Amino acid sequence: MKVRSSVFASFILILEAVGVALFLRGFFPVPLKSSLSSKSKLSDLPAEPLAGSSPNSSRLPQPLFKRVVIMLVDALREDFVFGPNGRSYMPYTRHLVERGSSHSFVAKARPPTVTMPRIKALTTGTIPGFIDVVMNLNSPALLEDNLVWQAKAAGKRMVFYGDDTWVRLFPKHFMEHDGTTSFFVSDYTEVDNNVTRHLDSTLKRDDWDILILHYLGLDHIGHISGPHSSLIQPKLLEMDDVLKKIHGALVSKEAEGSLPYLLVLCGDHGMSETGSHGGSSEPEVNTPLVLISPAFKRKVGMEKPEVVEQVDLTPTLALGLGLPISQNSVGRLIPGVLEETSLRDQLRFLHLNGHQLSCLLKDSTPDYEKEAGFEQFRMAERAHGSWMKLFLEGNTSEVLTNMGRKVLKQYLEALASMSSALSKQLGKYDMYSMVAGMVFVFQLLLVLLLAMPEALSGEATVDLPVLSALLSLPFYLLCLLLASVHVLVCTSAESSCYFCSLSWGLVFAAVALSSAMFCILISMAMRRLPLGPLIHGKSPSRSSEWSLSELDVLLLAGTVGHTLSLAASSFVEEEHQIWYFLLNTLCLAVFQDVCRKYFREQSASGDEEEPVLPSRDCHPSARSRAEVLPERWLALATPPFTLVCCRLLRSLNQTGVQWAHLPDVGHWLNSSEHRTLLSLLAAFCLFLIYFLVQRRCSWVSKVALALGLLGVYSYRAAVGNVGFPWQRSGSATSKGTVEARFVYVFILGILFTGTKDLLRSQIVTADAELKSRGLWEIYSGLVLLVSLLFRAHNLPVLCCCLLIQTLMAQFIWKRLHYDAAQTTIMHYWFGQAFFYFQGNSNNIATVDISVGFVGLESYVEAPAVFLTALNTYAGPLLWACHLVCYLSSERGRRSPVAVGHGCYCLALLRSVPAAAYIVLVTALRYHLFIWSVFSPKLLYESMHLLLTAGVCLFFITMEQSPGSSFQALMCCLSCLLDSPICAFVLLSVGIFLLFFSLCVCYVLTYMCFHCVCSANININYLNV
Amino acid sequence: NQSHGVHSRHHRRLCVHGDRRPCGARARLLGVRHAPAVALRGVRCGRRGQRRRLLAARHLAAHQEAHAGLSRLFRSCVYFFLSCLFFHAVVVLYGAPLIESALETFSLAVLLTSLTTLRCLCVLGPNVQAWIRVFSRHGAMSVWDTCLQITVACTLVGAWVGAFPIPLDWDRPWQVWPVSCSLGATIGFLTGLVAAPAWIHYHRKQLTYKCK
Repeated sequence: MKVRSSVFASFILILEAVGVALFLRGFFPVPLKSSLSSKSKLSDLPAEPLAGSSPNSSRLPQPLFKRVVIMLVDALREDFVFGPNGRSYMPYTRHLVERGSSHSFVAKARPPTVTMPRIKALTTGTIPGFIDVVMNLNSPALLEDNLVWQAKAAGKRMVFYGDDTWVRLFPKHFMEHDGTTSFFVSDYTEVDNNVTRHLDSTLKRDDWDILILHYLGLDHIGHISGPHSSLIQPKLLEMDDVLKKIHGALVSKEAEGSLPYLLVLCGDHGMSETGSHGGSSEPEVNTPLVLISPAFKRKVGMEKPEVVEQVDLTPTLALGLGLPISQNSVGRLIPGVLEETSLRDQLRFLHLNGHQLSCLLKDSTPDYEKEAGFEQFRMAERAHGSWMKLFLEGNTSEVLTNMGRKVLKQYLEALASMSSALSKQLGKYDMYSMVAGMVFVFQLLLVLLLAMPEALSGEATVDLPVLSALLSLPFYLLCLLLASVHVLVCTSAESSCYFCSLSWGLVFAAVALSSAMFCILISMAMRRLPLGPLIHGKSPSRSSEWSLSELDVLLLAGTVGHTLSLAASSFVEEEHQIWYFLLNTLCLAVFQDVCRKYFREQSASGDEEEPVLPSRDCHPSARSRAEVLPERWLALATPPFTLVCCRLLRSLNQTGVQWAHLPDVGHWLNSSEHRTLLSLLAAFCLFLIYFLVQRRCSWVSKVALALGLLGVYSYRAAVGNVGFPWQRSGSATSKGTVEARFVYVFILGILFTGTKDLLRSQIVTADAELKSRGLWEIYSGLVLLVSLLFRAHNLPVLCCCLLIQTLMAQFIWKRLHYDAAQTTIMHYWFGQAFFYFQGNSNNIATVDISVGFVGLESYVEAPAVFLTALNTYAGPLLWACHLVCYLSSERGRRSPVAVGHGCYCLALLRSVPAAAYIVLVTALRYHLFIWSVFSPKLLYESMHLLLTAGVCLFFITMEQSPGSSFQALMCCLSCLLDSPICAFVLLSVGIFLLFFSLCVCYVLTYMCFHCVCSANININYLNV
Repeated sequence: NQSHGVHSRHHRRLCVHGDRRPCGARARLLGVRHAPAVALRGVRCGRRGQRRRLLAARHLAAHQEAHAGLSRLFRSCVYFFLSCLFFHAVVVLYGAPLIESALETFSLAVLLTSLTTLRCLCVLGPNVQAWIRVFSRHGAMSVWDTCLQITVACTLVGAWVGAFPIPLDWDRPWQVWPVSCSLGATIGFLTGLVAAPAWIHYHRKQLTYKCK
């Protein structure tokens, strides 16, 4: 079956995206789940060891605290409280830490250090999987067993003020709540005032047991201006005042005889040196945890705070409030909290925690008995029992205390090792799904690679031997083989496996597709292999055709080198450096090409002209001289200009990890002193964008574009990034919804005009000019949308992008006759570099979520996700779209198949690193940085793959007249109808064989399994 | 290039002849281009005034040599400095900090210049046309050109590759900015010194030893 190379490439890309999705599902582990019941109950609690027959044996001990106030300050870094600046930042807290009755710890948060996973970790005690980050945008209610649910079930009355993530996670759990949304990052006073305003009235009342406050302002300040900005200190002082107020109120309310209060100050995550978070660097991970209660000993001076895990707070709070520990918690009790209680209670608390951990361990590991922690816990439990026996006998000697201390120590060790064993478990992978996805992706990649000579030929069509593959015996055999492997794996696997839980129809389709791909692969490889010796006469001409210039070598080496560099975590962190480096080298190589063209041509023509001067009339060269001269200088100036642009853009946004803390122009522009400059820059950039884009549009679009860009500026002014000259700087800011919607109208208008032109050119008249105008109009609509979404300081990125595109298209790609493949690779490299120029990195923290709210009053999922994705991938998308426009508008002058070649090259360029990265990630799955570095990159890669598939679909529509795809469909149908009987017979035979083999496999597996089980039982008997 | 080559060759010949048959007084009038004629005529010169002419010729040759040499030296120095600036600019465009470690960056530029441009200056002289010829594709004619091509390419590629370890988080002292690049350039240059003779030996049939 003959397929056009663009159709072929998009088809392969879409299938690859499916394969990658399967891989992702297997790669991101499902969080630990206890299998017993959904929530732990008081009645499930274990009895105190050897407590005799007293009725209270399985009761929890007396709770330690009556009221708990949790003050959670978003992005509170450890050194804001305990560091050298802590005394000036938070004086009261520091005083309490040093002199008051408090315990202070450094709580380590696990990456991803993003708010919602951290809240989940704090309340459930589990370490949420990485996939929670993706779910961060629409947090559904938390269904797992958690502290808030337990408190509610125990009849505690809870009040919550702060980040509305809590309200969405725990709907109807709070007696009273007021959520504030965290998405307007530029606001850092109002969010906190909205929390504090309730405080006075709430603290006066007595009708609550747990008060949770979540302050967001500090995080917003961090995002705006980093941890060293001048805004930090006032904000921390404000937080300190709030803490003072709460502490004062709690102290004044305290009554003799009742249980004490507990005030918890903690942060959900820290902030990096640039003020963002999400990764796993020290300042992002280390948060302070201060527990203040009269139940603790008074401190006498500043001690170095102990390091605990963030999840350790969960069991501590649960036991302190007299609640059962939530089932999936992997935290362990903080022993310091218990120091003032009796030894019996201490042991009882530790026993409860140990029991919960051992239950979780039993559920999650098949060979839990081999775990050191489990064994230790058993021993400690036994020792606890004998201690209890002595204690109940009334023994009060020194020996008993010493023995109790020993048991305590044993318990603590057991807890530590069980907890660490469980945390390790969280990195369990669903290998079968991963391997299935990987094999699938690799088959597709190989098919893509093998089709290269055909796809890049003059016809740009790929001959896929689909029918012969489907009607061949190996196809059916492979189907059978794969299906039986699937059945074998699924029946023998102990852990849950996503691929096995899919429905049979889907799995069968996947198996059939995979084996068909394999057959196609084999037949294509066979076709390639004998080609050399058969047409030997042709091979020399072929080799001369495929000779590589320096530029080709650079392009190939760069692509391969980049793919290889993905194996190193530092290179993934600093991927932008690689792209900038490659781009610079590319520009220099192009510069050399340009120089060679113009200087060599000149010298060559000079050499030729001298001997044959009289015979040749020199008027064409003279004419071209006069015209060519400025053009030549422009062409010569383009690569250096591009280089300078890239250098400037590079210092606009510092990204990555190692040098991210360096000052960059973006922050400098965003500071309030340079607002005028930013306004001027933004206005200039918008003007330049208009100038560059309007040239190829119809006048309607020109007007719309101008108005739209004006709207963009007024939107930025309304939001408060830039100012009009007549506007006072202190004027109130709004969300700018009206202005943004104004721009959306024009964007839609331009897109509509462009689509109309395209449709007319395709259906009514085959007018190439109309088509190219339609394309450019769609492109300008995209540019307008991106300029609305980009932050004001990023507008130069867009501007430079357009400028470089225009210059390169005008003077380099056209003049130097680069073919479609070279142009595509250059576009791809530029797109990648611009991805990083706009401030992105391979870290989730740099995704600008606030873009999802441009022009929207509240969070609506579909547009928010779309806008965020568009903003993040604006660079690659703009360059890919420019590629479509450039190739199809150039088509008349060049070979008509350029679009097909471009699409194929784009697909290949995207799928090679994606496929290689999947393998690398699988190989490195126990790497230290797998969650913080490699997984975010995996998400970025797969998202990019998906977007490229979309762009390739756009390519298809642009490639040829509408009739051809219809033709292809008809051709395919007629091929099928050629031999219907043969196909039917073979198909039925195949299905019969398949079912037969499935039955055999199943029976065999069942028998094997049965034998193994009975053997196990026998062995167990023998052991007993 | 052509005229320059001729010029220097005749010049040298003149000096040689002037030593043996001193008759160069007219050389000033005739110009160096007609030196062979001068030399021929010098054979026919009488013995008289031989010593005086000898002295004059020596003086003239030395003077001219010194004059031309001085201007060439000066031009070479300018080229050297320009090349330093060029390398500095390219390195900054590649992402080196503009102000912070300007001295280190410039040192790297000087190193690169002395490994590449200086050699070209020594072999080809401050002659842009010759440089363009040598460094364009299929432009190298002799072993000297090939040797230059190979060492320059190796040095530049070495410096280019030397930038790769910088982002790695190993915290080694040699990863600090320009150290790795300087090391890369030096190692590349040494590789070039080894590779060039090997290449020349392998392709000795196609190459000449003439210095064009």
